[in-house]
Amino acid sequence: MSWQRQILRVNLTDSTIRAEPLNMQWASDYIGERGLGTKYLWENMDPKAEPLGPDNVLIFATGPLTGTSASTSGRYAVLTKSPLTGAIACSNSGGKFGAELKYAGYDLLLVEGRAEEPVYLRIEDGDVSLHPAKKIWGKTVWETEEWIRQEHNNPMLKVATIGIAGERGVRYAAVVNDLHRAAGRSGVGAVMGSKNLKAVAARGTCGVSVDDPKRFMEVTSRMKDMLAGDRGTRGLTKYGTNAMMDTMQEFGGLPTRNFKEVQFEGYDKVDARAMLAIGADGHRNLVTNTACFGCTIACGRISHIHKDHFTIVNRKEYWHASGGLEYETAYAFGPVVGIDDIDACTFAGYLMNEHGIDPISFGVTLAAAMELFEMGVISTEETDGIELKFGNAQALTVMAEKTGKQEGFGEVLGLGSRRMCEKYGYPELSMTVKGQEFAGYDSRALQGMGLGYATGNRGACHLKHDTFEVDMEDQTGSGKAEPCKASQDWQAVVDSSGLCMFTMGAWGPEEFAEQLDADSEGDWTVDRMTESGERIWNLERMFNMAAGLTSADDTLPQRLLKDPAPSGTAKGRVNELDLMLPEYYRLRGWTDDGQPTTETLKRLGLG
Amino acid sequence: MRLQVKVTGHLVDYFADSETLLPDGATVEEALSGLGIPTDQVGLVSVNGVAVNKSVRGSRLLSDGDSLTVMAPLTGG
Repeated sequence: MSWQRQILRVNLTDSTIRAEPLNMQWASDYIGERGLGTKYLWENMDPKAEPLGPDNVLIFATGPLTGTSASTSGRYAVLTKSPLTGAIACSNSGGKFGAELKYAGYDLLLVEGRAEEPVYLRIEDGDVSLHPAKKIWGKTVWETEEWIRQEHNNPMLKVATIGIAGERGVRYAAVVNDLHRAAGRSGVGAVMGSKNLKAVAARGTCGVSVDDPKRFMEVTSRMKDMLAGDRGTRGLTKYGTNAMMDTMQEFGGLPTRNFKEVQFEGYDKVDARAMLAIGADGHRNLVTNTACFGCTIACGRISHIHKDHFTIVNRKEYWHASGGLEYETAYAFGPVVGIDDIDACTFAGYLMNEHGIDPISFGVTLAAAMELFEMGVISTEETDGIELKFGNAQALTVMAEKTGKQEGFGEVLGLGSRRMCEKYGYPELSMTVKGQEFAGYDSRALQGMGLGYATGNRGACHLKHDTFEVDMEDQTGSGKAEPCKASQDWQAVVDSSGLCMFTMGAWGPEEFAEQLDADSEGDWTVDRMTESGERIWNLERMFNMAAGLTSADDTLPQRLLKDPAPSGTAKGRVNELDLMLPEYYRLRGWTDDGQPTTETLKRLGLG
Repeated sequence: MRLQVKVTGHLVDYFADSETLLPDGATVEEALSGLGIPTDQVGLVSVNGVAVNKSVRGSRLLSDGDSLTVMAPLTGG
């Protein structure tokens, strides 16, 4: 019952704003956030629509637990058709914006059409209005957030915005909220820019109600104790997600120099311990940790850069602390581009947040460009004189800024790895699935991860399944299809709940079910939620099939299928996708060519 | 016997040194116990770069000079 029971529909073409009742049947069938947003997307657009055209739909969706007193309840998701992949995009973010949107009175915001001139949307306790955004078009994420708060004389406004990258159609532009939390993946920011929508600002005081307040308080208090008592979760608090860097190094699954290698000699200069190390001059990269709305884990990092580092020595505007390295950013600015300069990596991270870019896609695209440069395919004539070689920290930071501002070679990098590699005639060097760049886990060492990447509904993604445990225990492809499928379904549940996946080390399915059951009307059991997760996964698949994707898109780059891992615990192995994929399709109840069967769709209420 | 030890992730909170002494004939499981690392916190162990799966931790014998790596579980992120 923590729903506000209404959504907001904004048509930018004719500037109409309309509140509509939340479809409670859909909330019951699809839980919320990712699932509910997928259903609204499915019902409100043609999957064949041009991603950067006015017929695409952009959705901001909260979950049933968003804004409640449950731990990590700040999550929301941005859904649309991706301009990077042509598939469904669902990008999840934390911070405070999601809870604020719900407190303002809306469970979900659906944006359609395209404004004639740039606008931003203001939502304050049910008072909703569109405003001209000409003055902030061309401004950074950070400038925009500040400008909107001042314009409305309201420092409590929570802002989700795009930077120049989103305005200019960078295929992997992000929507950034609360300065450095992002719905980062799949180019949702480019879709927002294509609609001439610069930002959404929300402020609400409505609060939320839950179905059984007394039980909810008891359950969520107990769940917070579980998080506090879990040693792995406490590790996230102290070290952040970048604690995984040295594990990936030792395991031999750390993609290095555009996946030519799986271990990086400079890993310990950019990992979590490097962030904590105090230098001879007393400088430490990590300033403090930080938490999203309602979170009792606080895995976020706040860092600062050495003031005499080449990146900021003459740029005092960056002498402040800001969002620091997570594992994925450290990987994308470190090993995959062969760079071991923690200050340069941190600065590149600032630029991603400031300009609204997905760091994973940027880093992996840059890695492919570096490989092309070293092959002689790209020259300094194209790169504005920059030596685009692996290990060149200056190349990283200059290109991050050029991509953010869409200047010079940054326009090429803004295409993403697949389009860029195709442009130069070397599509095989693109480390992508369905056009989306890989996260920091090599599929030769982590076989189930490879299957999850290949079958990911939004392309290569490490967040939509969880096969880490079985992958570490067994470096072959045998027996990976079942845990991949099961974890995809359950991850869809977690992504739809309004809670954060980083609770999953401490909370199993029963713990999620208990919280949702206390929060919401009806009986929420693990079985019901698991079926909802499978329904969500299949509806995403249906969207992609209708958009024109086929089983041919469920694959991996040849480098991962043909070139054996050169070192590590999986030395000599390639990914065994051909072994895993047929079993996966069978377990899913799909045909041999990856189409959900009539029986499967009927069983899930989709047929 | 003397072992070279490397631990990853948050497991450094349990053991932060780079080597340890164990009785001759110790198994991987006994080594983990000696290092004070709870087994439920271990993602994978490798000896001299070769993975040692859970099922054989109790029988895999270590030798003087071996390099033992204890990896934290992965969580995504």
